[in-house]
Amino acid sequence: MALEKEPQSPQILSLSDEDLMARVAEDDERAFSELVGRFKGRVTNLISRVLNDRESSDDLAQEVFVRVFVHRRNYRTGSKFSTWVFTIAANLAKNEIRRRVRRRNWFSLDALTEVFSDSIIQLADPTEGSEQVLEREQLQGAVGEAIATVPEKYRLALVLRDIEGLSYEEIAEVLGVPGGTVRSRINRARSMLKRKLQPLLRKQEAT
Amino acid sequence: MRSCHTAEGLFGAYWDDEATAAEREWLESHFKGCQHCHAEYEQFALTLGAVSELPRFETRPDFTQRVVEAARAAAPVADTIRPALVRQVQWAPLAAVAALVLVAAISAYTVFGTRPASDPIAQNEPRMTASVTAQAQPTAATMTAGDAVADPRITGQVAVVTDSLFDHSADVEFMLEPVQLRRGRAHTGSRLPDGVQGDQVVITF
Repeated sequence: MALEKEPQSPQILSLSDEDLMARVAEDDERAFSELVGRFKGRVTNLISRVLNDRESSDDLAQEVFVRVFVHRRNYRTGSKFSTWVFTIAANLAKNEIRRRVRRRNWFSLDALTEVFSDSIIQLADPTEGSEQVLEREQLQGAVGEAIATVPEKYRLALVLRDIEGLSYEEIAEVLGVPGGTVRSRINRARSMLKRKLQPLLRKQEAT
Repeated sequence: MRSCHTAEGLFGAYWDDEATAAEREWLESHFKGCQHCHAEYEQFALTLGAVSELPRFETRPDFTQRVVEAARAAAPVADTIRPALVRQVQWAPLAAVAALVLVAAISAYTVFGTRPASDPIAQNEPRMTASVTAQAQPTAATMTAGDAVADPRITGQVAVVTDSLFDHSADVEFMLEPVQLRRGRAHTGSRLPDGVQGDQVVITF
C-alpha cells in the first residue's frame, strides 16, 4: 500500500489520469494514492463552493475517493477520469444539499463568516494592509454567500464552469444534461449572481 | 432595444471566448455606441472575476492517507453484473422448462377433465374412437395394406398410446423444447411440424 509519505515512483508520476485509473482497477493502491493527490484539491474545492461549507467538504471529498476505489471496476476505460470523479462529487454534493434542506440544517450566517475568515486568513497576502484584507474578505464572503443562494442546479453548473474551469461538454457529461441546457443554466446562474453582487461591486469600484 | 437584448445574450460567449469573430466584432462595436450595455458587461465581468478569484481550499495534510485507509476498509464492489444476477440467469432455463411442464400439465387437466382413478382410459374410448376414425377415413383409401396394419387408426381400434407423462389419444401433443432467454422471457420458438397446429407458450419470469 502506497501512502502519502512514500515518494511515488517516476513511472507512476508520468502516467495519465486514465492510465492510473486502469491500474487502480487492477488493485494498484499506489496508483490510487497518486490519483487522490492529483484531484483532492479540485474535488474538495468543488464541494466546498457548492455547499458553502468548508468543514464538511473534507469528509465528503473523502467519500468521493472511497467511491472511486470501491467502484473501480465500473470505470469505463477510455472515458475521462476527471469527468467521472466530478460526476461522483456533484452527485454527492447534490445529495448533501437535499439532505440539509430536508433537515433544515443550513449553516448559520455566523458559522459561514467563521469558515470564510479562516480560509481567507490562511491565504491572505502578507504585504496587503489590514483594511485591504478586510475588504477582500468581505467581498469573498459575499461572493461565497451569493453563490450559495443560487438554486442547486444552476449553482453546480456555475461552480463547475467558473471555479473549476470545466468545458461545457464536460459539464454536460458530469450533470447528464444536454449542452444547450448547460449553457442556459450557466447563463441564468451568472445573471442571478450579477444581480446579487451588483450593489457590492459598484461600491467596491467607487472606492 | 432589441440589439441591447442580443448584446446581453452574447455576454457569456464573449466572456468564455466562444463568440464567433462576427459576434465579437458586432458586440464590441455595440459597446462603443451603448454605454448601458458597456456598463452591464463591466458588471458581468467583475462578477465572474470575483468568482474566479475566490481562494481555493486546501485539504488537510493527512487527507490522502485517510482516504486510502477508508478505501481499504470499504467493502469492494465487483463488476457491474452482480454474481447474484449471474446465478439467476444460469437457473433461468431450468426454471422456464419446469414452468412449461407445469403449464402443460394444467392445460392437459383442463382439456381432458377429471377421470375416475380406476380406469382412466376406458371411459373415453367411444368418443376418441369416433374422433380418430373420422379423421383417418379420408386418407385410408390412399394407404397400402401394410400402412393400414401398422397404423392403429385405420383399423378403427382405439389408438391410445401413453407415455410417462401425457395421453396423446386426442391428437394433442405437448412439445417441450429448450428455451432461449431474451430479455427475461422464455421463447419456445415456432418449430411445430407441418400440419400441426398449436399455441406457443411464452412464460415471463
